[in-house]
This record gives sequence, C-alpha cells and structure tokens, in this order.
Amino acid sequence: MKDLLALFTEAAPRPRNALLVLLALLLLAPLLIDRYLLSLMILVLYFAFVGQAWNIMMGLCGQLSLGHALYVGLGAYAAAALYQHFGLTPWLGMFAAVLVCVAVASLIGWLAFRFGIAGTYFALLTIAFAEFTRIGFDHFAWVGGSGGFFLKVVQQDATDWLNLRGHPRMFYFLALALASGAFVLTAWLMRSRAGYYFRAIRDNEESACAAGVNTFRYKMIAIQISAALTALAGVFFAFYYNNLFPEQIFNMGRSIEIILAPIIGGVGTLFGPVIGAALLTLLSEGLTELLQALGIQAPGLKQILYGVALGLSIMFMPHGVWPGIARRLGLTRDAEDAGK
Amino acid sequence: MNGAPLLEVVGVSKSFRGLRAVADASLQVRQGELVALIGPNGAGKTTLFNLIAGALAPDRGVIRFDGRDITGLRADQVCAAGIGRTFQIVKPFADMSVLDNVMVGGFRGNAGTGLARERARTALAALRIDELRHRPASSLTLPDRKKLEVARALATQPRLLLLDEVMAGLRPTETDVMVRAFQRLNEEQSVTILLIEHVMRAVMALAQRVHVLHHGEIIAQGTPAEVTRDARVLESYLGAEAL
Amino acid sequence: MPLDLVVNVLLSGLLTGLVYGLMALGLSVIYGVVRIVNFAHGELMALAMYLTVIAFTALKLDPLWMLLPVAAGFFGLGYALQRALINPFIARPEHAQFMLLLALALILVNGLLMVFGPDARNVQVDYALDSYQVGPVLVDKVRVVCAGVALVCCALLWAIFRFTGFGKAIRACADNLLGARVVGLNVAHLYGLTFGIGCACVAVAGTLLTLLVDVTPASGPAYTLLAFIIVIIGGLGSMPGALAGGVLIGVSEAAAGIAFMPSAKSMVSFALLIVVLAFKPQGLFVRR
Repeated sequence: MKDLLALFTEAAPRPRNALLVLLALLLLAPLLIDRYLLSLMILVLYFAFVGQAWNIMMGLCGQLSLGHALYVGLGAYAAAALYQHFGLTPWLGMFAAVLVCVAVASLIGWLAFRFGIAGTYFALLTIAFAEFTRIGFDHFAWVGGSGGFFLKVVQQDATDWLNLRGHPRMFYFLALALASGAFVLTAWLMRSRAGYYFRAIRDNEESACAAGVNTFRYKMIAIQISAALTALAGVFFAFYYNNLFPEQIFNMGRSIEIILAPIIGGVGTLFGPVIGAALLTLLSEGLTELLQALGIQAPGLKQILYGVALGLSIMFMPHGVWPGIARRLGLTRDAEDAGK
Repeated sequence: MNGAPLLEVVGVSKSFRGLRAVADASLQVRQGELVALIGPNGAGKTTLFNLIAGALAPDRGVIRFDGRDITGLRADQVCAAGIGRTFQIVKPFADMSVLDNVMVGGFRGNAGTGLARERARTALAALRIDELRHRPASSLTLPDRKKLEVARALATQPRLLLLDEVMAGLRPTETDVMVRAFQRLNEEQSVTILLIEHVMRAVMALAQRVHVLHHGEIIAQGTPAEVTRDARVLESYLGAEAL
Repeated sequence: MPLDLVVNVLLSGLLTGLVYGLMALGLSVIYGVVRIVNFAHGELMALAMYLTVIAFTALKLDPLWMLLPVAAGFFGLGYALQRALINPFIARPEHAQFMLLLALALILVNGLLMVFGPDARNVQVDYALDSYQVGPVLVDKVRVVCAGVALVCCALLWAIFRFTGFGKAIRACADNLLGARVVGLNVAHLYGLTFGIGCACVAVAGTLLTLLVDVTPASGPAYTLLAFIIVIIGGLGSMPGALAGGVLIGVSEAAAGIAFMPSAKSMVSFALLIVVLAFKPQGLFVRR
C-alpha cells in the first residue's frame, strides 16, 4: 500500500491541502447544518460516489454503460433481502451484493467483450440487461415483486450501526466514507498500470493491444470494479430509503441520473463526478424550491432540466465543467509536473 | 550473429473474401539484422506485418519467433513475446500525454509505474522527443506522432521491431535523424529491425537485406544494391513498358 | 390451448409486427445513411401518437386521415432537427451523439408528461371492433388496415430509394461519403432529407399504432428500445431486416403474451436482443 501513501505525498501541495480542508469541513458539517441540508448533502455524496463508480468504466476505460441502475438494484435487493429474511447485518450482506453484481457484470462483459461489442451496441446490451431484470423483479415474489420490498424501520434517534438503522447523520458519514473511498480509489487507479491500460483501451483499443495490453482482461476488470462499487451504492440506497420498487430502482431514468453528474462535471476526471453531483443537486433542489414558492405543479420539469443540462453540456462543454475550473485554478498537469 | 533466425515466416497466406493479400510468403530475419520489406502499394506488406504482429491470423503457414510458434497469437501476446510494432496510420492515445502514451508500452511484463516511466523516458530520448513528454498526444505534428509511435513500441523492450512506413512525410533531415536512431538501437541494444519503407533513402542507408513483395508474393531478396537492379522488381514498380 | 386462438394471436402479432417494422425502418434508414444512432426515435413516435390522439379527440379525425399531415409535419421536423441540431455532431464520437439524442429524448418525454399527464390515451374508432373471418381465423379489421398501410409505406420507401434522384443521391452518401462530396452532392441537405424520411416513417407508424394500443409518455422510451431491438436483430442498415425483425418481435411478443404473463412479454424481446448481441451482433438477417 505504499502506492496509496505515495498518492498522498506526491500530490501537488495546493490541491492536496485544499482537499484536506474540504474533508475537514465535510466531517464537521453535521454539527453545523440542519436536517434538510444534511439530506441534501447525503444526495450529493451518494451521486458523487455512484458517479465515480460509473466514471471508472466510462471515463477511464471508455465503455458506455447505460444500465448501471442494474447494479444499484441488485445490490440493494441482495442486502435488503438477506437482512429482512435472515436478519443478516448489511456489513456482511454487502459482500453478497458485491458478489452478485460482479457476477452479472462479468456475464455482460464476457458476452460483449469476447466479440468486441462496443459503443452503441454495448450500451444497448447494458440497457437490455437492466430492463430485463426490472421486469423480472416485478414478478419476483420473494422480494415483494412490483408491490415493493420494505425494510423494518425503527426509531430514528437510536443509532444502530450494525443494522444501519438510525439518524440521517449516520448515513451522512457512511455516504462521505463511500464518496471519499471512491475518490481515493480512482486517484490510485489512474496512477496504476490498470489506469494506464484502461485509458489506452479508451483512446485506441487496437493500439493498446499492440502495445501489450490484454484488452479483454482489462475491460473485464473495469466493468467488475465499477459494478462492485455500484453494488455498495445499492446497499446504501436500500438501508437509507427502506423501500425498493423494481419499477423505480431498475428504471432507465435512474441509470441516466447516475451518468448525469460525471458527464456534466467531466467524464474521465477525478473531480468531475464530485462537481457534477454538487451542481446537479443544487440545480434540482433550487428548481424544486422555486416551483414550490410559485405554487406550480410540474411533474417532469426536473427531468426536462436534466435533459437541457445534458444537451448543453454535450454541445458546449463536452469535457465537462471541471477542466475549465481546473485551468483557472492553476491545477493543470503542466504546473504539477514542473517538479518531475 | 548465431545460426537460427530470430523471426521465421514460412509459407504464410491470407485472403480477404477471395482476394489474396499475402500468398505463400516466406522470409527470415536473423538476430541483430536490419531488414527492409519493400514493394508497390497494395503488395500486402502491411498485411504481412499484421500477420506477424498478431493483428490478423494467417489462413495458412507458420510464424516462429525465437524458435517459438507464435502463429495466431493475439497482438498483446506477440508483444509480450518480444515483438514491437508501429502502425502505418499512426494510432496515438489522443487524450493522454506523450509520456503516458509511451508508458503504456513501458508496463510490459510485470513492470510497475516507476519502471514504466523509466523505460518511457529512455525511449523518448532515443527518438529525441523527450521535451514533448507533457504535451497531449493529439497536439503533436505528424512527424512527431510517428516518433511517438516508435517510442511506444520501443518502450515494450522488444527484441524485434516492426516499423511500418515510419519515414513517410518526414523531411530529409528528419529522416536522417530517424535512421541514425535506428542504427544506434540496432548496434548498441541489439534490436533487430524489420521495416516497411517506400523512402529509398532510408532503405539504402539502413537495410542490410531487402525483401520485395508484389501481389502478396516475395519476388526477390538480397542486398539493396542487388534488389534495385533486379528486373522483376523494376517491372513490379514501374511496369513492363518502362523497361 | 385451442389452436385457432393461438393462430389468431400469432397472426395479430404478425400484423402489429409489420407496423413495428415500419417504425424500425425509419431508424435503420437514419443509421444506414447518416450513421447516427437516433436514441429519441420512440419519443418522436410518442409525440406523433399524442398529436393523432388530440386530433381525434378534438376534431373526430380518424387517424388514417392524419397519416399524410403527420408524415409531412414530421418530415419537416426531422429535416430541421438534423440540420440545426445534429449536423455538428456527425464528426463527434459516437457516445457524444448518443448523449445528445438522449437529452432530446428526455426533454420530449417529460414535455409530453407535463402537457398530457401520465394517464393512457387512446383512440376508439367506430370500426375498432370489426373483424374479418377467414376460415377459423378471426382478424381485427384495424390490424389489417394498419399492416396494409405499413406495407405500402415500406414499398414507397423502397421505390423512393430506387427510382428518384434524391433517393439515389442519399444512397450515394451512404455508400461513399467522400465520393458523394467530390461529385458535388450537398451532403448536409441529403442527410436532412434522410432524417426527415426516417422521422416521417416513425410518425406514420405511430399514427397507425394509436389504432392498436394506448399511449402514455412512457411509451416513448419503450418504443425506442423496441426499435433498437428490432433493428439490431434485423441488422442495422438493412431495410428488409427491419421489417423481418419487426415481424419477429411482433410474433414473439404475442406468443410470450400467451405463454407467460402479458406483463412479462417484453422480457422476451430483451432476451432476444441479448442473445443476438452476444452471438450474431450483425443481425439475424444479414449475410456475413
């Protein structure tokens, strides 16, 4: 793990210190902000986490998955079912969740990558799996089918870390841990051999192969890591919201939600998903507040906003918001590498 | 130079939907040699390279590298065996820096990031493009991209380097730089080189032996001087009337 | 299960499948020429369906009368969309195009949701319950009419590409873009025409479908997926493949409806897609 330490010591001082300050603020936040803002922050951290997980597959390795809700759903149902039916703590249940998701991801990867299915075809394959599972779970009686699956909820003031029942503050720290973990993992990946190989595959697969990259193996690794992380997001989702409906959790709209933050923030960058999550949650809540204040009922307006944001982003800022910000803050590679 | 050839291509053929791209081609390259493969456009030179490098599998024939049968192996397996290659139409990793591009090659084997970087810097220095290392690959001029392509292949620590028309589009002075770089690699690091070239200046300066490919068949081989006087070779390039 | 019931269901599946085929044809034409993956295909069709339903509710216009105006209108819409929005994206990477059309789809679906609400709408014509009897087989009159119109449109499309000047020009673009430019064809204009034709197809298919099914905003994405399934199974860029794929999906959906639960019938379509993508991604009806 000296690589992890190296991540820390070799990072440029300015951004590293800024991040540490941010982390400190985030750790103190629950003492300072009210419950509503806390729930907002949880959303931001959740989307930063799941966006980072998707980013590993798309931004780093160039494989477009539009069915990532599949892993959220499978992870959620796996851990929830084990808890509700067998009383298994989610800390163990999450292993099952990860196992299931990695298995499914491996199946999808194997089907796709051995014949070199890429781009649109691959995206459609991921959608097909998600949709297939969605309809399947509608008829899956053991976990409630289309009627929904519910976890028993207890008093919120008693914090039960073992079973993840309790105050939102607990979920906040959990979400923060997940988001930070994914951040560090991505940073480490980017500097590792896997990260270089992923990006090579993304930029030119044939060239990567000629340079010695086993492209099948590394694409599998990318999809497996991405699925494993997303499974954890699913476990979080299940225990935070306490109810699961196939129509909602496997829905393609959910998959799109997952990809919005990293796309708008900057696909393939470390900070992209984080910035994107913050921006989108801000935008979305701002809109909800505005509509409430004006007394307008507009179902679907939020989604239209997402669509507009996505469209504008892809038209005018295809690399996302972050690269521009990074340049302005002087955090670009040239400044950093002056020492190398 | 010892007896057994480093690379042995024996009776290799490849057809695409009835069109014979390579027909029963055989050639040998000994350890430490500098061999050129020439021929008019469409002769099948790049296809032959693709067959050797594992990008394509031959319909018939055997390819042996250092005594080992590498016929039909994947491109990354061929690279692991010790053959590095460049592409005729350069394929850089556009969104990565020059250094990162070459490091991808440098990770070959079980190299860590540090070793990969070292190998990359060495390769970049050999091609004289080390000062460009932090630039994004997409911002390079075509000649520099060609050098990048070679550097990346070099970073994989190859014993045999397959160079596909790397001199095309270079000015004479740049061509000379490349030629000297390859000569150094060949003499100092015993890198065996097989190159496809149209630029005769480079072929005459570099090659110890030349094979000529025409319509997928090897029609002549010998020293550069012998081959450029061979009637069949002249006919294939210039047509019968010119003679 | 009585044989004539099975035959009836399969036959109506086949007829519906022909309409699906027309829908998928639009997608295939767009991809075959412009090389853009139109991820807003179903949403455009949903828009056409809603317009038809509104026209019926407000003006008592039989959807069949709407065919021409809808086709013309969506042709224009498609042309405008291509030239204004999509053209700059032709040179961009595939996933960027995907995202753009995804954004468009999102806006369309939710726009429909906002304006019309989530409830299902449909069209009830006088002859909705009429049927023809051919031996033991009972066939809905509407289905026959719709299938017939779909076939006529397909034939029209084939004729356009075979015999007209601009049809041949479009095919030239598809075959050899550089060559087309060199001989002076206005590629942007031709792409616009192609997109227009594709949208007209899907709009006509939508208008026909209002006679057969209900429409909700969620129909949009569902039909986009269905169109892609058909086109991939049939072979992207292949016109007869799109029709054949449509029929295959129509029949298998109908069969799944009898064999399993009706609500699970789309699972069969997705399963088919997965199987085709995994084992013959160039499509079932394409020779390779």
